[in-house]
Amino acid sequence: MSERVSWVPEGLDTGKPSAARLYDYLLGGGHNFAADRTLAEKFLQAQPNARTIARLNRAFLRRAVLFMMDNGIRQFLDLGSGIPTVGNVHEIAQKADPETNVVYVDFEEVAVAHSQLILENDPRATIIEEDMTRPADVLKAAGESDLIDFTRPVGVLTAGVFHFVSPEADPRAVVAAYRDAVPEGSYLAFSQFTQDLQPEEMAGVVEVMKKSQNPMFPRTKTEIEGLFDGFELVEPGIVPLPLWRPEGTNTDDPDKAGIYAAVGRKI
Amino acid sequence: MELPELAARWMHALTSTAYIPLSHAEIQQVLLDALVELPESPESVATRLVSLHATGPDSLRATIDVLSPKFELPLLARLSSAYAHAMRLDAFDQQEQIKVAIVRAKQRVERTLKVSQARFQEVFASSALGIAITGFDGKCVEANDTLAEIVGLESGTDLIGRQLIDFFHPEDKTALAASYRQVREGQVDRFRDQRKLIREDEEPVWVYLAASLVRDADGEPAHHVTMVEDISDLHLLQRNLDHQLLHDSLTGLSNRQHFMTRVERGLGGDPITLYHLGLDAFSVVNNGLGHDTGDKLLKIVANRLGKLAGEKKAVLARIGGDEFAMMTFSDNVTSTIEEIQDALAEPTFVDDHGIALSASIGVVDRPPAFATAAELMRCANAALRQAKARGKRQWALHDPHDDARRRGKYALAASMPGAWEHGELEIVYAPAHDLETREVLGAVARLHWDDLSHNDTMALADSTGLSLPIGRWLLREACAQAARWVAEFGDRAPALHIALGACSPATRISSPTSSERSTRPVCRRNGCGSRSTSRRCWPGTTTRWCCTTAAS
Repeated sequence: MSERVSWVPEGLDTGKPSAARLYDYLLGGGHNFAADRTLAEKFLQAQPNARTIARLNRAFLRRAVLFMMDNGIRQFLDLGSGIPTVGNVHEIAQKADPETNVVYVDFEEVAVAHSQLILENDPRATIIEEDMTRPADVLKAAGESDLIDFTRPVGVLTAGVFHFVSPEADPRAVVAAYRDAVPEGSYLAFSQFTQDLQPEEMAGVVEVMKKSQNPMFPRTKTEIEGLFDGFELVEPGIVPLPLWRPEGTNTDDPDKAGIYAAVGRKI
Repeated sequence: MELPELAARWMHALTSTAYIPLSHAEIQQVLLDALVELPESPESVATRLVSLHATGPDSLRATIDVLSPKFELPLLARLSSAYAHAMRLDAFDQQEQIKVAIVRAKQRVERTLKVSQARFQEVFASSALGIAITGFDGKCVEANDTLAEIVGLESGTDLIGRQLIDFFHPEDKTALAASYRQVREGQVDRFRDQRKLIREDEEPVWVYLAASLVRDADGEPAHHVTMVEDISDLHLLQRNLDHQLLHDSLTGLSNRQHFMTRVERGLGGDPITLYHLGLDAFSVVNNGLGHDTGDKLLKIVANRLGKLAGEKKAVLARIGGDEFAMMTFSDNVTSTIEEIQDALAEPTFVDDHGIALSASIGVVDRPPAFATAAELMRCANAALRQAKARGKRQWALHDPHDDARRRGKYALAASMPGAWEHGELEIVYAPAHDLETREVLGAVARLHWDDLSHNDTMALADSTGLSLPIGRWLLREACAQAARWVAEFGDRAPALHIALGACSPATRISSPTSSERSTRPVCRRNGCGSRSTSRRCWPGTTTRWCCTTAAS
């Protein structure tokens, strides 16, 4: 029996919206499908500022990467990188120093295939298909990629990802595992939705995402502080997206930024 | 307004509508170049804006807002339509890209599927378990050769399209269908069961089966997967073991354990009667003719009683070496007793030995329903003891009152060793008077326990085999006491009479000699200095030893 039998389920379903493609759509990207756009419209109803938040989050990622590079980081582990979209980490980093290595991590098949397409001709960047909430698997694969040297400081990036990590997945233990794997002087960039800002809109977003493949779990500032155990927060600490080391004068309303951002240095 | 200032305003307007992954200075420089180029070629500026990713929903409006005071409407119209066109092309490019990604992802998934499918096929084909995948119509979609073998078919493909449930025993079908339904409706994740399959050659096969649900990509129930293990051998072994646990290996009758559960079950229904049979003088057969003969005899007895039990729809068991038990329902005791004795009385020849058989029988008739099986067995046993005491071929009906009395005595006897161990038995010294002169002749040492008199205590000790050690202890203690009196009173010390065992028939035969043997050394050891230890037997029931302390 070599042919596929009828009862084996198909492994890929593009009819279901994904958070990665929803994010792409909010950023004005075209790497998305009707189902993703439908979900995005509901998301926008609950949080009318969603496009701005997506933009601010992407901009924070850029600033965080450049901040780390200013502090000597030349290798990045981007957890839950999603669909390659405008301003990818390897583009930003390699523009600043071409000899920078980047390992992307995602477990969504289309995001992974897409990333492989983009990275095909870049020997200094790759994507590994793993679940970022299973650090042991991720770290093993990242080590095998030969792009990350765990004896040298690493820039660990989780931008707009941890709000998809449920309390059951033990986010503290997840962060701690990555912290323990990297040497002193490594950095963690972190941003995630919070109910501290616009609690009503946040509740609406949680409700919209509840039925999707990627339910969301906003966290308070205190909870996020707990995740930085073993890190020293760099100035200005945990703040709404546009307030984290803004470039020039900030014109965005921090109270409507939805997401807290922070960077910590491993001590 | 100067161009650099305009570029700065444009940059601020654009960066709040879209994410442009460049520094502000870089963006501003790009926009300044665009401003210079704009009057000549608004189309290339539009393309640059899109490639810069200034493509937010409000990016164009923001651009027009910033540029409209400075530039003419026709130019801005050209810019707008070129921007729209570039956006369209960009969207097509991105869609193309994501489609390629999808195709790749699908190919990868399919490759993975092929591998996992190959793995599955390996497990499926080489499994020692029969595996069937069935649709909700109950028909096999796939089945492996192991399952085919279990049901007596050539290969797994022979099963495809056939109803799996048709291979099960007709009696099992309804229950199985219900179990499958429960799995399908999500009431249970899986079920495990022990069932009987009927092979193609109509031989039954015992199987252990586990069935669960396979869902499709949308998580909807799609198929059942059933694992089947042939446990016929195991089942036979289990039944054998069960039989051995509940039956007597010599006669094949139920054992005590099994009989008790049957009694327990019988107590709720029709009035029952228990017969506890003890073969008379069976030990004579065993000792005289050998155990083989004894065993043969027991089989014959089992056979005959079995026939009788069959006729009476009674339950029969062998509950001890030469003891049997029978439970009948709504029975006439006297006629059953006769039938039992008649069945046993038939001349029996074992290894050329003609053996006459009879039994003593204890009967418990129509006990109350609240009695326990253990209690009834004990009552029947007590009745049997009574019957045996009357001679051979006797029977006795259990008498609850008599039983209570006996039980009290037995309970006391059973507690005696413990009581002695704990020093609860006492020795008391009572003065002995001359009946006429009231003169004190000496003292009598007596046992005392609880409310019991010396004689009752000794009788109890006799029945438990404690009379010898207790008697010796009594002698030792009393002699020591006598020695103390001699030391204190000299010639005026009272003569001490020691009351030993009650003169039951058994002690009269065996005790005196042994008592005699043990008494003298005891007296010497204890230094009562007696030179004359003599035995006097008082008329009545007590043998007494008298230690005279007078010097000869």
